[in-house]
This record gives sequence, C-alpha cells and structure tokens, in this order.
Amino acid sequence: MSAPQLLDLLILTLIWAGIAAAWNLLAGFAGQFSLGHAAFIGIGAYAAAITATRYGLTTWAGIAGGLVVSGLLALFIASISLRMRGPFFTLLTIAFSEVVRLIALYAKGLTNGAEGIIIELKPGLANLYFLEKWPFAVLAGLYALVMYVLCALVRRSRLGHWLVALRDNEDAARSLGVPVYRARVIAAVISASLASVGGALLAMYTQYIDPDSTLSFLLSVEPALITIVGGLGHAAGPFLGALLIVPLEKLLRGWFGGMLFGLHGLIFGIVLIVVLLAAPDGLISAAGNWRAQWSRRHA
Amino acid sequence: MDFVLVAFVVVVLGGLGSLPGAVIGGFLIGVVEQFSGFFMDTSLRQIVYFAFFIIVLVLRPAGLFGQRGAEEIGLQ
Repeated sequence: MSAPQLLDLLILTLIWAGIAAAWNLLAGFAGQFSLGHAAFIGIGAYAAAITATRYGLTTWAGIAGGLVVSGLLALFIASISLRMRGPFFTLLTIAFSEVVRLIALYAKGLTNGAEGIIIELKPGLANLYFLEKWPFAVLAGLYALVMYVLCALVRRSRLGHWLVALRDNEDAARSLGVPVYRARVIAAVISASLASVGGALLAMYTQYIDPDSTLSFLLSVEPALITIVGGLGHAAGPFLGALLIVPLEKLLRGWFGGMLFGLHGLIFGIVLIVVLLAAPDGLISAAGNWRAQWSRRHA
Repeated sequence: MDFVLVAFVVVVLGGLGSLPGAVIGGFLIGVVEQFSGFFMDTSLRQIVYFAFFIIVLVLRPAGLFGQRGAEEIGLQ
C-alpha cells in the first residue's frame, strides 16, 4: 500500500471518527437514537460548497453557516419530538433527513440537483482547498481532536451528567430536578452542528458532492455503526470504532470489490457480526474486560 | 430502501401494533403521494408524504390508531 492511500484512509478515518463522536453525544449520552444525521452532514457539505463555489466567500463562512443552519434544524426537530422515544424518534429523524435529501434534489437552482457540485477553488487555507492530501490530514486530525476533547468535557460537565441520568431513567432524573427536555434539545443542537462541520470537511476533501454522496441514508447509519462497534456512550468509543470500521470498509472494497459483485459487503458484514458477538458492548468495554481478566490471571 | 421506508412510515402513521391503522395508513400515504404528484410536481411527491407523516406524528405522536402514550415509553 502506498503512502497516498494510507493518508487517504487516515483522513477518512479521522473525519468519520469526529462525525461519529458528534452522533455519540446525542445517541450515546442522551439515548436519543437518531438515524437522520445524514441531513446535518449534507447541510454542512452543501453550505461549504455553495458559499465557496457560488458566492466566492471563504469556505470558513460556509462552515459557520452550515453549523448554524444544522443547529436550527436540530432545534426544530428536537422541540417537536420532545416526548418521543425509541423507534418513534428514530423514524422522525429518518423522515427529516429524507426530506432534506429530496429538497436538495429538487432545488436545482441552489444545489445543482442530482448533478452535484464540483468544488474547484484557489488552493489555500482561506478556501480550505488543497491540491495535496497532507493539509487535509492535519485538518481532519484537528477536527477529531477537538471532537474528542469536547465529548470528554461534555461527559464530565453538568450537561453530561444530566444526559446520562435521563438516558438511564428519565422519571428518576426528572424527580431529581434534571431539566429533561432542555438537556435533550441542547444535546441535539450540539450534536447536529458538530456533525455538519465534519460534513463540510468531507465535501472539501472529496471535492465533489451530490445528494447521494452527502445525504443518503447510509451516511446516517455509518456514524451509528462506528459508535456501536466502538462503544456507545463512551467518549473514546467512536474513535476506536472508526479506527476499525473505516479502513476495513475501504480496504475490503479495494481488495474484493473487483472480484464478485457484493463480496466485499458480505465479508464486511461477517466481520461486523463476529466483532459484535465478541464485544457486544463495544470495543471499549471489551478491552476493559480483557484487561481485567489479564491482570487477574497475572496477579 | 424506498419500500422499507414507506412500510415504516405507513405502520407508524397508522399506529404501531394496530392492523386497521396499517391499512388506513397505507391508503392515506398512497393517496397523498399520488395526489401531490398530480397537482404539484412528481418530484415533490415524497417530500409531501414525509411532511404529512411528520405533521401527523407531531399532532398524534403514537400514530392515528396507536395506543396513547406508546411514544413516551418506547416500544416494549
């Protein structure tokens, strides 16, 4: 494997780790299982691409815009779904992300519809557009680092304790004075805006976006998959999960993609099943258990 | 994927666990989809029925014929 390929894997792994960490804030900490984060990834991607290519503004303005729009949309979704739990909330998020995808397909004047947008800009930090890969690796690393620190901070903050309390037992949490609805809405807004930043990075890295590559349902599943494999509700879980899932997915596609149709997907599925059977609570918990066993044996 | 999603939407719209709900939900979604395709724009069909689904879910979170309060406990 060559150095550019390795760098490519690294960049995608770091960006997806960050997005999964954003998802983990809502699903892992607050227990609100969203399958609509593709909407926020897509909004971030389109906001960055449209402001940069169409209006000639710096990409950073697009990222900020996408962050605000995603946050507002999450505020709206969270406030109309305050009382919903379990499958009802999940379905509502799926419906919302589908609506966003269909609007992106329909509003051709703004998004170019199914043709997508090719991102071509003057290279430089102001446009977040580079011809080499390494600046993206630095940016993706920064994004992942910031996401990890934020998640760890939120987990330790008062908000984090509220979220975990209401996830484990909402009635008990409310009786102890946790502002359940407010905490849930705040978690949704933070999670959505942070995911949109990851979406923008993804768009600037691939330099081409269309509704299928930024808003499809599969993009909502990806962060969930990464987080569940890594460890739902642990700050480090999404990072461990991304380290396994993203390279595995890409490498299997590279190795077996040309052979039999769908073979790479089959192998990927089998590996996932084995991993989840061996570590049902995620890699983080499994690693903790294995370490405990090892130290007991060697005590 | 499209069929899975429509099936979910229909069942939740009618109310999870309710058989007449599923029938009526399917009927409603089909009619809304086709009418909006005819009167507005065929590419807007899905947007309209998802919007319809969201509105119903907001007004009656358990679905049209679902058990009241099911949305708050989650499905057991």
